[in-house]
Amino acid sequence: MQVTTMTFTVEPCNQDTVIVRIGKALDFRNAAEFKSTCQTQVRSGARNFILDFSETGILDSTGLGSIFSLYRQVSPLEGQVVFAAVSRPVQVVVQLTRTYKVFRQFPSVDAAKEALV
Amino acid sequence: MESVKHRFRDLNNAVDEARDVIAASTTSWIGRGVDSDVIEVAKLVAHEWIANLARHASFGDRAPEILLDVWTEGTTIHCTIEDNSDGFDLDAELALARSELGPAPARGMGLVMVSTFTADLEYAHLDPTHHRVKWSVSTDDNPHLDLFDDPDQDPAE
Repeated sequence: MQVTTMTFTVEPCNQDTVIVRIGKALDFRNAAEFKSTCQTQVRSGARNFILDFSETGILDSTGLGSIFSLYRQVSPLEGQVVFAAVSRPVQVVVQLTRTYKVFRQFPSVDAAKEALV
Repeated sequence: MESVKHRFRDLNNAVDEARDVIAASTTSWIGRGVDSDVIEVAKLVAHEWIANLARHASFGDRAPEILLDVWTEGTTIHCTIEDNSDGFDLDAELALARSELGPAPARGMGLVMVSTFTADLEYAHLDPTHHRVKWSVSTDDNPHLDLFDDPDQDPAE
């Protein structure tokens, strides 16, 4: 079942993989909501997270920190966090912080689904 | 070079307004040779500084006021941000943040990003309730903050 929060839409792919559509921004104003949304999904059995950044114009340090929190949560469960359809503003942050070393990137959500599901 | 100035009084919207002010100059700056990714870095740094003010600054009984001034010189973007908060000790906060920063940190990256991604960072206390940060970002720079540079530590731990 698709879940829509104030700023995120979560769409299940299968039992342990979900797509989180980030929307316009992941920053200090909605990072807590992102964490809480993802924690709910982990409690429901999700282990793999495809983060769809196609519409995202803002990713700040607090938003990035919330993604790291998710990564720390799912890594011990053999889960993965991957980035899909990364917009240019997000790509700049990924490059500046060398985040690509940990999070695999895919050109589209479909390509990420193909790799994970 | 002509600068773009904007005054913000609403802390909740200041981050978006600052980004919009910088974005509005994008076309003319690119026409002058400024790289579009450098403009993204400028937007990110302004965002981080203003977000830090919105989240942590004390303004006493004063209505918050932030003044953004941004301009280009060659391929470099220069920016000053003034505010009427009580200010803070940037060097001490940066030293603390850097000392606590491990791989894949959940928090504490904002000021470190500001410091790492800019050149000529200066923070001046003009008077007890008037502070100004100044920085620049340039196409010629290649800054990065490697959050995974400790080969002995698994960032998931």
